[in-house]
Amino acid sequence: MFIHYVKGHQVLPRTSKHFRIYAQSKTKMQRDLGSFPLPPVIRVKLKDSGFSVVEDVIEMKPTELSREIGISKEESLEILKMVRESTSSSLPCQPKTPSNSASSSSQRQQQHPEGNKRTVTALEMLRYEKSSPAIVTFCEDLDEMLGGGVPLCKITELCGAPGVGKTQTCIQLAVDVQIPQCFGGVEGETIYIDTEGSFLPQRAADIAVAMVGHCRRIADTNDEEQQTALAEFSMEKLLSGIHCFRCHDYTELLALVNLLPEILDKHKKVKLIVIDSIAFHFRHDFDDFSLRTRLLNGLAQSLIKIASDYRLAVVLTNQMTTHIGNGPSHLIPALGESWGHACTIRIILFWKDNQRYANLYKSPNKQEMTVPYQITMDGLRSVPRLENEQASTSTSFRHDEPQDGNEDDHLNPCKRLRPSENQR
Amino acid sequence: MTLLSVGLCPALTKETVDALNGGGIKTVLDFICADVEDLAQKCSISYKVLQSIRRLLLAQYSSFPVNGADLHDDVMSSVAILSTGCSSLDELLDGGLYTSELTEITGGPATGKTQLCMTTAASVATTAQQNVLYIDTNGGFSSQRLQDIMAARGNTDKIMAAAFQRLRCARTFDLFELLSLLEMTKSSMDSGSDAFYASLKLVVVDSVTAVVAPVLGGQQTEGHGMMIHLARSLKALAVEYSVAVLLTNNQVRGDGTQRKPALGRTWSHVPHCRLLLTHDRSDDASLCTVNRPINREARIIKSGRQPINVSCTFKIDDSGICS
Amino acid sequence: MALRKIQRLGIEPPIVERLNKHGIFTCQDLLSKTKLELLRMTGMTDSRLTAILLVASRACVPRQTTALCMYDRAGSEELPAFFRTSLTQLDHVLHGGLPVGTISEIAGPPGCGKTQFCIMLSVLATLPVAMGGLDGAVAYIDTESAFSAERLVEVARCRFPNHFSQDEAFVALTSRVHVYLESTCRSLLARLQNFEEDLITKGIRLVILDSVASLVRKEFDSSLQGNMVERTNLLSKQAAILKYLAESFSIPTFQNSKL
Repeated sequence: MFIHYVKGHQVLPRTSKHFRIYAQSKTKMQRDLGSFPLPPVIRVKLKDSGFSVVEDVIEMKPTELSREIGISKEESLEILKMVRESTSSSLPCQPKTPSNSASSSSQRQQQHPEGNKRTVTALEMLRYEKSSPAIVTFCEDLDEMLGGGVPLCKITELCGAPGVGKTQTCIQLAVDVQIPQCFGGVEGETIYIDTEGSFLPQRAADIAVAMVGHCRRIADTNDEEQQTALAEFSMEKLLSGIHCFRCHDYTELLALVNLLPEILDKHKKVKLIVIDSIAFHFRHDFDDFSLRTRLLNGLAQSLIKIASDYRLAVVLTNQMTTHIGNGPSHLIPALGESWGHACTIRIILFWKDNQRYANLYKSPNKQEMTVPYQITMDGLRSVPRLENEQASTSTSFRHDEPQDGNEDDHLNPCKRLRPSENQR
Repeated sequence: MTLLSVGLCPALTKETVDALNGGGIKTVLDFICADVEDLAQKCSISYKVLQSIRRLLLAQYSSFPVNGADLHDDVMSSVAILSTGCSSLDELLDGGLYTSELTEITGGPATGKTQLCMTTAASVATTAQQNVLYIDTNGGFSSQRLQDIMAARGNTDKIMAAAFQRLRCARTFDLFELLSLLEMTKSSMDSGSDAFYASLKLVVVDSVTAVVAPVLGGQQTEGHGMMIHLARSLKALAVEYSVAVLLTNNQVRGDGTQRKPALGRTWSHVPHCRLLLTHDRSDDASLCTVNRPINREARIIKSGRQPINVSCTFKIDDSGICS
Repeated sequence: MALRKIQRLGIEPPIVERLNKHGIFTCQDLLSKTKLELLRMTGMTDSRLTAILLVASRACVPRQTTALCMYDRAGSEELPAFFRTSLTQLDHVLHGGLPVGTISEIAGPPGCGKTQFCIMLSVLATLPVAMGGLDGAVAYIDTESAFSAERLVEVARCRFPNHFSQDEAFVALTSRVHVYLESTCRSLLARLQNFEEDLITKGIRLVILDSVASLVRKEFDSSLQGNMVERTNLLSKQAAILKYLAESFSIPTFQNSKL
């Protein structure tokens, strides 16, 4: 570089791209070593020895670095690995136990559209999204409202007052996720995390039996694949695909979410994680609200990462709390407003005039909408439109024949359901 | 700060560097802050040599004042204005999103922040035909929705296919991964090996709170420092590479019922322009059965260019955000 | 399990010492902290810290089971999965009766018969399994002093005259129903927190709480904002303890509340 002095100041040649003379082209903004997750004692040692940016250490050998700043060889190797991984264009492998590391990274590569790359074009994302089927709820109105069903790779939250049907919906989804692919289903298993003790295996058995019956009715006798799938399809098989965990406090819940990657590597077919409910243990015995917010935020990020990496759906249920504001008091979802940002899709379930409704409060690609639904002996079903006057209370356990129709019918976007029509 | 090494300038020979290191001077910063006379005595190097090294280092490493007129010319030639896809919002923002600036959208849950991000990304990819990097940190991105927005705005399949090639999506759920991603973006723009980064004009980060909130608080202050690293990284990306950066921030209820943007006062200084989205939908879900259009409003709460507390209305439909 | 001390996890002693210095003694303390806090406290690198967190998580994680195992276990136990209330229509709608291992609640306006229902359930629980009972003792936690031993005996005599024909049967019945009188929220909470011992020694197979609301109503004025939070906290704590007891001992818990 040709340097000459003009009145004591150096004049740089103009480059077309970077005219700005805030920083020289040599010392571009490099990543500070302090922005890595290092313990403060090591950070101080690095700074004292003059290493402040990535470029200072990246070419060094572990023994050289450990000698210069006075740390062990293992620690310096780890620091160098961390720094080098951050500058590569591929994603780092998750730090796992040595036994699983090989299998888990390959599992992630298979599941992820990006493979190991950090970014991917929107076109590839679109193909990936279109190839991910949604989990049907067996209530057509609800499925239409959600655009096919509960989507994979996202967190869906169900909020509602006690008794409105959150646990019933969760059990229904835990059974529905196992519908074989030849019937248009996802054919996956469930991890059911129960924090309230409201999961009843007998109820799951009822719903499973109804679902098996439905599949048998609609199966095509000529379709060999469907017939083979049906042969093994039974209530026992469905129940064995629901892995249950009972968490008695929030520490067990946190521990379980920390271990989910290990558990998912063991049960590779899991496509749905249900936490019923996420609110229970965070609502009592918690004096420190900032700790609660921090834990919940961390939990939300862990869950969305798992949903994305392992390509599964996460369904959470939340309780309601009374909001006493300026107007009359009403119910709002619990866990505070910061939690409202955590879920991708939020559905609020409520009662009105002896009818259960589901309101899609938040969704990335569907309009806000309210649809009625009911809970029968066979599980979650839609409210038949012609018989709306006779569909008095939803607690009547009529044996409702589910609407005939193959699950792989993509529901045509029809006009928005106006609940006022139903109440005529 | 750079380490002192042989060859930084002609007078820095190996013996000089070793002598300086021995005296505790390891970086350029240490050298410049030290007193030259003391250094001459401690390291037994001649005063004249040290002065010449100091002059050279200062010339190389300090920043220089720039003429205002030159700066204006530079801005006029390099800054672009990207439309958000909604005319009332563009008017509110004096044209749209400015490159070399950080614009933040804040609001409560379900107010339309992600929808605005996706509408802007779609508009920049189709109309402005520039490249977009969409960083999703909380799973709200849906390329299906992006396609719907473009289709509803009357774009043909061919245009949409081309636009989809211009859009890249990255999913990071961790603050450190986000920092690595931003550094990688900058180095790709420097090296010029990937043509995508040559005409990258918009980077969307949705949302910043999701990755920063878990590290704040508790018995440590490092999290706060990490937030500042993120702020510096984003600002460098915007200013040095002439890119428009669009961020999403959540709104939380502080003590009492006063709502405010998350991440605190320190973060409030980071974006150049802040937009607040609100809606008048009732919290009470049981009122949702009544069919009523939702009134949505966008208000400027911080800007270097526009008067604040000016607002406009918008609505969300199939084509994204529109007037 | 959450309160398990970290020194029993097999982590190196110097690290345990460093953690203890910062007030981290149990797994709960450890898992509630963010990564950055722990990096500062322990001075360990990221991967070693992650390994320790995984060890602590494995110590706290609940047991894994499948719905099929739960279903089979519930069906195969000597005691039934449902406690029949002897009202046939109610039993039919409840799928067999009050489910064992969870909390059931009855609510209604004053005078509709809640306490009578509780007394009847007490009688039923002491009956042998063949007659639809649980063949065990009953813990009746009374907060309103509404329990009447005479009424208990009367119900038994009129409902099951054959079974309760002699005095020994009545003595057996009354000795199996243990009544606990609690008049303040605090004493009720204390009773519940130390209930495990009683449940084991007395062979209790049904717990009745009559009623959940009366004490809270008396002690917390619901018009004051601050009280609502405290009240909710207290009720949630009670509920959590009852749930835990119900599940660990596989007993139905029945609580009574006023509208």
